[in-house]
Amino acid sequence: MVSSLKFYLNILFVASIFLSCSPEEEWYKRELNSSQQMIWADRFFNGSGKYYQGTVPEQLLLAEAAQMDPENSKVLREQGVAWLKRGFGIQMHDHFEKAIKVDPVAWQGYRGYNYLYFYRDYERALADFNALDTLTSDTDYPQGQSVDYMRGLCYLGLNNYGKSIEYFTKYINEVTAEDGESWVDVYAFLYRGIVYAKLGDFKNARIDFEKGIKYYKDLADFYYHLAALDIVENNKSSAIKNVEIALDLYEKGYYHQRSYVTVQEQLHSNLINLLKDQINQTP
Amino acid sequence: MRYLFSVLILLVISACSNPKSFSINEKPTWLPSESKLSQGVVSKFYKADIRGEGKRDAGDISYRSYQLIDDNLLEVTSYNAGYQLESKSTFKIENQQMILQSQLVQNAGDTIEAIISNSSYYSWDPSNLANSSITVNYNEKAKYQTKSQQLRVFDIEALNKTGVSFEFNVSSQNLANETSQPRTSLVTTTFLEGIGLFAEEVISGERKLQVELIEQFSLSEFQQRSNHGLTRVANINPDQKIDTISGFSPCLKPQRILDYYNTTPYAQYTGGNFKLQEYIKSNLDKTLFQNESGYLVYRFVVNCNGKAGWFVTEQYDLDYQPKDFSQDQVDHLLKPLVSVDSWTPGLINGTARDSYVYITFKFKDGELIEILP
Repeated sequence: MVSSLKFYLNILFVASIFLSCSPEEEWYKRELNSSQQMIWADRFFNGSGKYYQGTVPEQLLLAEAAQMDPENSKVLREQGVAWLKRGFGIQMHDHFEKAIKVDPVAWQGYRGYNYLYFYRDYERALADFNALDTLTSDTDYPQGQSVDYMRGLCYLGLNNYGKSIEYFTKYINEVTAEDGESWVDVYAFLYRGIVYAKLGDFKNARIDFEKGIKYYKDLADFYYHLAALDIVENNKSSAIKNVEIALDLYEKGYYHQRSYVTVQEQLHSNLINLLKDQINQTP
Repeated sequence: MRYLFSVLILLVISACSNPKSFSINEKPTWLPSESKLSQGVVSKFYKADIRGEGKRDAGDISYRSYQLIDDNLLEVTSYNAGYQLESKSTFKIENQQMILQSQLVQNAGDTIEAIISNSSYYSWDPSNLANSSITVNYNEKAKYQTKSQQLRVFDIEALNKTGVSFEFNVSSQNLANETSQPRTSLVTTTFLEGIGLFAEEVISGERKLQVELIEQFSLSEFQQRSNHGLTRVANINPDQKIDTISGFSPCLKPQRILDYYNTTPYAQYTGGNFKLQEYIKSNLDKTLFQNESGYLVYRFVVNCNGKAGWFVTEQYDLDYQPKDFSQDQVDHLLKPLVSVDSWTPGLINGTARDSYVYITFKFKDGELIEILP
């Protein structure tokens, strides 16, 4: 018992020496106040572009920014972008949700844009565009695109052609009234024309495709859809001419396309050739 | 028992002595303490890029470790915000100077040894100021020479500590480009007693780079922090692939695999999304997906030869919440992706490159409604 006590006392003694001779290391740490943290968070957001999106240093730089300023919605949004572009819906959704909670005016429409183009999630895109409408008085242009134009796309995707035409028309009329028809995005004419054609309103479809050509004469899509109308209207010679132009422009890369994604109703050489065959078989 | 006690005493003695004593002559006081240098000390810096009137300031994080290594050399290692190695330098301290012995620089996964023409890096002898010249040959288009001429050294005080500041004229030039002009800057570097590098300011025209020490900790703490487990977003670990393709590998190092959207045209199913949709829809066994809804994403690599491999999946429902498709479903849609030999590699300036690609199958109520992106 005594021996055991001595042993433990020795252990205690040794432990105390260990502790006392371990150097008392003081580590420098600078404390930043909240305004300094906000400044650095903004700087890190601006500097994150130095690194390729989604790399480890970019992720950690943004994470530090988010920790310092959890209300910096630009940072919260940026954290989701690499996930968005690479097919990770869960992470995209989580990050954008956080950004919207902080600043819905800045990001609700942006998320709608991404639901529309990356996920073809028309219902959610519409919900975001509609929610944004309740927050702002003017027509919004997230990512440079009118919410009305994008609502037209959503309703096209949902096969609600009446609503689709309504929103494309709203967009076209508004821009025409404010800045002139030449400022209208030609793809609004393209899509409204496509929707008219789906509804069998070939007259208005043709008006839109021809108006599109007036402002962008080198887009294969207009000529392809005109050729399809020509066939319906038994104008084979015009159809042959238009389909050849469409094929030529398509092969030069002049067709409606977007970075990252395939657009709705995207043209393809197979489609043009199928139409060409159909035209050739037409008496 | 006595034996045990003796062993413990020996342990105490060894613990109380530093593993490496700093025997460098003239050890400056403005470096971290000897014990910290022996064990390794890491400084975390915030870097502000003040870009001038009307431009947004940018920021970055870097780490620098200091450790005394064998032969009384001081090793200084730099890391970026992701704890990734950027450069490793060794210094010898003699005659009131820090002399650069070697420098290794990381570039795109390669290690490049710098050519040191003049090695005097810092001098705290005002009568014998430093002068260094270092060249790093990255590739045939980028061979950067950095010349540094020390202008002065002066004492300073900060945080109730003494310290020293060094001022330099620095010029950097790409020797591989005949039209390249030297870029000059005025650099002021400040060290504090017991801390080491505390601040640095680089002024180049209207632009100012400010480096501020934010935190110090031990090298072991740094190693713990750097073990964060993060990888590049959408990195594919081939050990987790679900395909049975043998012999697939990227043409270059995995770090150099691009994202499809960085290539022009994109890496894709030969014939494009349209042809893939036709193929999939004509071969889809709808009975396997009855009432199914959600996103089934296949991510993989298309290498520079147009071969696809390293298939993995992401699976989530229409509310963007995790879900599991059945193995039969996953295998069914994987089959056409791995069996076809119809991938076109993405190009960079006309050269085929490896790239990450993904294809999403979106189901709603048993219907395949979209193939994305």
